[in-house]
Amino acid sequence: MLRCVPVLSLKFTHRTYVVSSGDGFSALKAREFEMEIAARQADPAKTQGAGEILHAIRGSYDIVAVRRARRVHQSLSSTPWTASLCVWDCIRVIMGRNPRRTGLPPHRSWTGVCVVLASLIVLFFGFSGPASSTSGEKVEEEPDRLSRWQQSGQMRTIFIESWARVKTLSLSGKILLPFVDRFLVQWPALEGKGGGKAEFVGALVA
Amino acid sequence: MTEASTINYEATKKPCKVCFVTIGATASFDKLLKAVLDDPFLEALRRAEYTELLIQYGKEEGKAIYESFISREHDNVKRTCGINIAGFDFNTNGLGEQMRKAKGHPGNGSKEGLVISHAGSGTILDALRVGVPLVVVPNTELLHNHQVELAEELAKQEYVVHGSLNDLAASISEAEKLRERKRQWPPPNSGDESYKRGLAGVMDDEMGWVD
Repeated sequence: MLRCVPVLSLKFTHRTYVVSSGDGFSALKAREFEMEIAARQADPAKTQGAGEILHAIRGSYDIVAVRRARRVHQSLSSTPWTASLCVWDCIRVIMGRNPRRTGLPPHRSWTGVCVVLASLIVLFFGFSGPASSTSGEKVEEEPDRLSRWQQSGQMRTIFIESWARVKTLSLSGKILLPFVDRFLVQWPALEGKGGGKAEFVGALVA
Repeated sequence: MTEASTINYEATKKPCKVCFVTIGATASFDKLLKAVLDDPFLEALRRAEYTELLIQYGKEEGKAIYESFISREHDNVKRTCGINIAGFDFNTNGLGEQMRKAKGHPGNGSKEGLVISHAGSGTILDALRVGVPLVVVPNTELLHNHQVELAEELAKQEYVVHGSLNDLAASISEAEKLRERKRQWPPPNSGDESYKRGLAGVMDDEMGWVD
C-alpha cells in the first residue's frame, strides 16, 4: 500500500501511520517506507550532526498503535465494545493525542473502519480536524501539528479497497462506502461498484 | 541399496534449487503441509531437480505435523529423493530471506526454484516482487473465499499457478512452464498516465492541489 504514495514526504510534512496493536508487520513496513524516504532525500554528508536540517527536509512521522477493533476469530457480539475502544483511540490520534506511541507492533480493515468513523465523529463535533488527512486501509497521514489549527481545510478520507478483493467489495468497504470522500479499488472488475462510487486508478500495490 | 546411494551421490553434485512453502501467520493450513510432505509431491520435486524443501509450518498443529514427519521420514526422503527438508514456525521479520533463497543466485551456483504459498495477498505480492515462480493454494477451509478469486485472476493473467490440494505435484511442472513465460510484476500499465496518476492524483484532487 505504501508503495503507491511516492510523493508523500514532499506534500505532507508530518505523517501518522495507524496500525492496530499486535500487527508488527505493518509497523515494520511503515518504518521501512520512512527509511526509504530518508535515504532518498538525505545527503549522506548531512546525516551526521545535522538532524534538524534533515528533519526540515523530510518532515517527521509517527507510527501509532490503536487497540484492535476486532481480533481474528473474535465473536461478532463482543465486537461493538472493542470497536468502540478502537474508535476512541483513533479520535485521540486524529486530535493529536497519540494514545501509545510505538516503534513497532499492529492489522486489519476493521481498524480502518474505526479510523474513518473517528474522523466523522471529530468532524461532527465541529472540529475541522487536521488541515488535511488521508486514510486508507491502515494508513493515515496528517500534516504538521502546528499548522493544524491555522488552516481551515477539512480533512478528507480516501478508502483503498484491499488488493485481495477481485470481484466483490469487502464488508469494511461496504460499511464505509457512504462516508468516505473517495473509494478506490485495485481490480478493473470492481470499477463502478457501490453505486458508481468505486474508482479504478490502476493497481496500487506494485 | 546401491541404487539409492547412486542417487545420493548425484544429489551432492546437483546445483541448489529451493522450493519454499509458506502457510502464513494467521491460520493453520494442515492440508497444505500434508500435501507437500506427500510422496507424489516429493517425487515431483525430485524429477524437477529440486535439492531443498523449506517449510514455514506455523504454530501448534503445523509444528506437530512437520516434526513427526521429520523424525519418521527425513532420512528416507533424503536417500530416495536427494531432497533436504528444513522448516521453521514463523519469522516476524518477514519472509524476504526465504523468498530470495528460492529465487536463487547465479553467483553461488544456485538455480531459480519455486514458492508455494497460501493465498494471503501480502505473501503473493512479496513473491511477485522477488520475481520467483509462485504456486498459490487457497485455504478452502477459511470462510473468506475471495482468496480463491484472487488466485484465479492472477492465474488467468499468468502471474501465478493456481495450485490444488488434490494434485499439488502437477503444479511443479506447471511452475516450470511459468518460469519460461517470465511475466513481470507490476503490470506494465500501473502508474500509467491513462490511470489519472493513481493514488497521488486522487490525493491531489482531494487536497485541491494542482501541479
